[in-house]
Amino acid sequence: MLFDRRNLCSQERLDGLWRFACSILTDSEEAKDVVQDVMAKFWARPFPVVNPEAYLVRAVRNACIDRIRLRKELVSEMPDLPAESFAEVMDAREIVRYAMNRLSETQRMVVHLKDIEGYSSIEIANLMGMQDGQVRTLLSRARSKMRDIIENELHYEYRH
Amino acid sequence: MNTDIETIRKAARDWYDGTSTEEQETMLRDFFLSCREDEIPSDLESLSCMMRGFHAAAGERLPETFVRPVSLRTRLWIPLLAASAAACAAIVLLANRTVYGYDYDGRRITCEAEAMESVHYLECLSLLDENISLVDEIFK
Repeated sequence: MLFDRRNLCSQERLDGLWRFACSILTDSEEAKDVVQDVMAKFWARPFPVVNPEAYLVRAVRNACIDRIRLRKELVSEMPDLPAESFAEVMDAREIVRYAMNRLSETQRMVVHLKDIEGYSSIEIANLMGMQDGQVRTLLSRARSKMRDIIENELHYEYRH
Repeated sequence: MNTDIETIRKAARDWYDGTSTEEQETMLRDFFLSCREDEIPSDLESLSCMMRGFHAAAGERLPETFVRPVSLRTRLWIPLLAASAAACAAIVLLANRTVYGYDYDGRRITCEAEAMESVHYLECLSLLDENISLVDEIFK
């Protein structure tokens, strides 16, 4: 199957891959390096891949996991600020990022692809090599955990 | 708030269960992004925060310092195209040059001074030829 590499290297596509890497790595600079490496390898490939979009998402995921293995302890690197004061100064995006960083890697990936990038659960299942039901279970657990973190750990509530 | 709050609560429960449909997800997103925060019931505040956070995260852009990769094919094509363009330009320029004549080897003479020298040389040869003919006639 032929494809246009320029479409795959569009700004929106690169932004999406970078956001995905950011969600897994929790480090925007490292995420940028990952996307750079993946795209460089992708462009250097002499032969086209069958499903380039899935290839790129998987390549970014694998590269991020490799980096996490090098780092070992991801969660311990998070700033350990008092939750009450933390929630007051954070905006919604930071709260979501904070809660997502408390999820497991797989949960984080699934939540990112579903709720940030807008993939359907079937598309995610294809990308991650899972069953649709597995994706839905992961989503359910991840979202419930995020709600618990936001309500109990960050004590988030709109101050009337 | 046009959407019934109980419909939103039902969609929120499905969303947390991972069983929500595309329509329910769109409805939740539209509701929480268009609704004022003080209008949201307290039991939906965390979901509202998540929806707004996801929406904001989706708008994040790659830093401008990112260097776009160039494909191997492009890297090969650029010098090839440049060389072809240079060759075409050379052909066009050479084709437009005035040809004053041809030398003994059949090559074009495109320099005016060189052409004049060649004419002068031929004239000299012609004179010499006449002199030789004259000497031949005297001998005869």
